[in-house]
Parts: sequence; structure tokens; C-alpha cells
Amino acid sequence: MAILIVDMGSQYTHVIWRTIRELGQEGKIVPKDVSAAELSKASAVMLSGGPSSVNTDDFHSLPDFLRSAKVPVLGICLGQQLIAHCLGGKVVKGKNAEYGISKIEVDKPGTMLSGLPKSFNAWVSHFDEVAKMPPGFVSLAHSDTCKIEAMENPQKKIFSVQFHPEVWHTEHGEKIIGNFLRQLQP
Amino acid sequence: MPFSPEKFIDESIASTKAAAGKGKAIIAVSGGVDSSVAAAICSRALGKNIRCIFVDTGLMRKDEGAKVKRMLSSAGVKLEVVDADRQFFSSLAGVEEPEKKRKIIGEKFIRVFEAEAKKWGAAFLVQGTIAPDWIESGGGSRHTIKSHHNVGGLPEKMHMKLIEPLRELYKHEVRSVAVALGLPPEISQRQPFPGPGLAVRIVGEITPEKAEIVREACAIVEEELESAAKRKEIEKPWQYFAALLPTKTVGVRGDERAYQYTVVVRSVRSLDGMTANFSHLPPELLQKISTRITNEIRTVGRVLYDITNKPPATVELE
Repeated sequence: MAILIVDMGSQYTHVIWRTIRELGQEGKIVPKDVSAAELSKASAVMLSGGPSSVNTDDFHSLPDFLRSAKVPVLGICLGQQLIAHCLGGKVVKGKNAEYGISKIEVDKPGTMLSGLPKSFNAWVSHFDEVAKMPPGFVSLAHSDTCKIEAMENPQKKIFSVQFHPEVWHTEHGEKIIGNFLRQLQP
Repeated sequence: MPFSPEKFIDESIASTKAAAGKGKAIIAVSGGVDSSVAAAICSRALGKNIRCIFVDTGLMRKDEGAKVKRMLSSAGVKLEVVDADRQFFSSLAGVEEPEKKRKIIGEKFIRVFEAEAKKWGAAFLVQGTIAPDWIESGGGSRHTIKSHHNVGGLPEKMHMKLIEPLRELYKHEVRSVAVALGLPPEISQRQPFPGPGLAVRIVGEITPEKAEIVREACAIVEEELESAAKRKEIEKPWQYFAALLPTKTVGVRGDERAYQYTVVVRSVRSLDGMTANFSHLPPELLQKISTRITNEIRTVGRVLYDITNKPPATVELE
């Protein structure tokens, strides 16, 4: 069973695939109109970033999949926003956009950010942001411009980050993805 | 599993053999590490059935044709140079829009290669396309950031089949393959150079005069940064060059008013080209570069240093 990487149009979808390969796991890139049945057969699902907005675009079977997901899920950038949007949170246009470098302040390591320093530099590229988390989620980190840089629901094994852990410029990015991969059933 | 260049070489030689069969192929070599590695792999896979062609578009770096020929011959690859500068300049005359420029260049390249393929009866074109090329060219729900000449710049009708052995790789992985293939460091460690060449470093319309300015300015930036890196004053940047803006600005030279071109110096750190940050170069070095550019190129009156990361900018200006 492979890890499915849902391509929602990110420049970095293939970089996610490469990072997983470097960490010794097999990933497969699938388009965003992938069926819920195929997703539920995966060992884990990763949702890429992308140029669209969760408030206006069609995400096919992804909302249904997320509401009843039984496998670990990691949402990145637009992926985090989609998780928030589908599970009862709220996504809005941020006051300021964030592109390039951003300093992430860790408030609580949780599962995803465990073993990381209290603050680190990450690469970001977004305008929309999560304004309200879905029920059952805890916020793990913030930056000057964005209140929720990472959140998770460890019981449901749904994790997400607003920044891009897959790119080289993000410090400790591989560690974050490694933390996620440890959630897979052995 | 870290990427294994040896395993990759074995697999790609086998898949190239399978793709081309007994057919003949020509390979488009630009002198960058990607196409050089593709040429070396295909030479091993196809032997006598491959010809390596370098097209001089008039938009290449200073003395590039001769330099690339020399570098590749030391790696056992025989390179043929085709002069096509007039064709490229005349088809680009009056064109300002960057995507249109890239498409014209992509198409011209293919037509030149098709003409060469026809003379020799080759059915395949090998390209050194790597992952960021097709990622940034767009497709599916991915936006087009820029049409790389070898992907989004390809014409719809082509008379050759493409072979792209490096499609899934990134620059740092290609460099490790280059080392494993025994290519010299001047190729394996060479900085990336865009397929459309200096065309994307001339913002707005391209003319032979502007190409000459940006070629000289790039040569100065390369010389200064490479020698500073050799003296260990700086870490060698991932990519470093000069670009020409379409704007002139006012200056004063020898007590006379001047109204001249503006050059942008860009230098970035990256691993794979997907994200980048501008190099924090010492002010003395920037000063030396700006003084040399304005003294040695008499039509340039101002030099700017680009302090934008990627995102939101890209590495090249167009």
C-alpha cells in the first residue's frame, strides 16, 4: 500500500514525492479528482498545496474522504485549509499574504512538531489562512502573519501545516514529514 | 532511501535502449549539467546511433560553443555546433511578452533539430528535461509559472519522438549522476543556465545589441563570484547572473549627462531550484561587480542587486 499524494496543483507536489522516497517510503501522486474508494485503500494520504481556494473550488470526493478518513492524513498549505474547511473550521483571506521566509513559533510540539526547536524558519506561499480550527483540533504553531501554522487531531490522525515542510529552505522539514510517516501502521 | 546515482544510470541506460530500439536519435545539448548527463547516458545506451547537437542561438553565454565542445570532448562526447543566431533573432524581433518569447524559442529549437534529424534519418530527440521544467510549465490543476522551452515551449506538431531520461530528477540528483558518470567538475558543478538562454535575461524586446550587453554583464558576474568563491570569501551560489531591464535611467559620466541601460545582478542559494533565497554577498564584492559592469560596458549606467526570494519571485526574471 502506497502513500497517496493528492496533487491539488502545488509547485511542490513532486517534491513531496521525492522527500518521501528519500525517507524510504513509497509515494504515488494522484489527481485531485481521485475517488474516495482509492484514497481509503492508501496507507496514508497527503494533500498538497495549490493555487485555488477552498471557498470557491471543487474538491470532488476529498471532503467526503476527510469526514470519514480512517488512514493518517497530512495536509500542506491548501491541504491544511481544505481540512479546516471540510471538518467544520473556517478559512479566510489573511490580512497579509506570506511568501518566502517566515519564522514559525512552536506553541506546543504535539505529534507533528515533536523534536523541533521552539522557533525555526520555514518557507511559505499563501494568502488564505485558517481562521477557526475544526472541533477536536489543537493549534501547534503560529507566525507573525498567520495564527495557525500547524494543527492536528491526533485521535483521528489528521495533521496539517500551513508552511511547506517538503522544500529544502524549510528548516527541519524532513523531520516533520518523518513525524507524520511514523503514524503509519507498521 | 537516499537517491542512488549508480542504480539510476543502469536503469536509464536500459530504458533508453528500450525506447529507441535500433532507431537513431539526436540529443539537444546546451552545455548545462542536465543535457550533458543525458548525452553521456544516451551515448552509452545507443552508441553510434546518437548525434549530440549544440545550437548557437546567439543568446548563449560568452564563448559558450567552444567551451562546451571542449568540456564534453574531455568526457568522450563529440559535439556538433549548429549556428542559428540569425533565425532566432529575426523570429524574436518585436516580441516583448515573456511567454511568447519562450514559445518562439521552443519552436525554433525543434525546427532546427528536425532539420538535422531529417538529414540523418533520426526518429528520436533526447532532451535533458528535469522535474522542475515540467512542474513549472503547468498542467492539470498546476498553473503555468513559465513555459520551459523543452516542455511548455514545444510546438504541437513534432516529427520526432521525445526521450527524456532525467524527467523525475532534480538538479542536485543530476549532479550526483554526473559525478558517477565521471564527468569533470566543470560540468557536474556548473551553475544552471536557462534553456532559452539570455532571452529570459533581457526583459522586453530582444535585440543583438541587448544580447551583447547582457552576455558581457553575465561574464563579469560569473568571473567575480567564481573567483570570490575560489578565495573562500563566499560560498559558491547556486545560480548567479546579470539581466537587462528595458528601462534607462539617468547618470553622470565625466561631468556629462548620461541616459543608459539598467542591469540587475542576481545570485541565489538553492538545492533544487524549487525554492531559493538571494545570496547575502559582501558589499565590497557587489561594489566591484557594479564598477566593472558600468566601466566595461559603456551603455550601462546603473546596476541593481535583486533581493527577492523564490517565492515570490523566480530565479530568472522572465
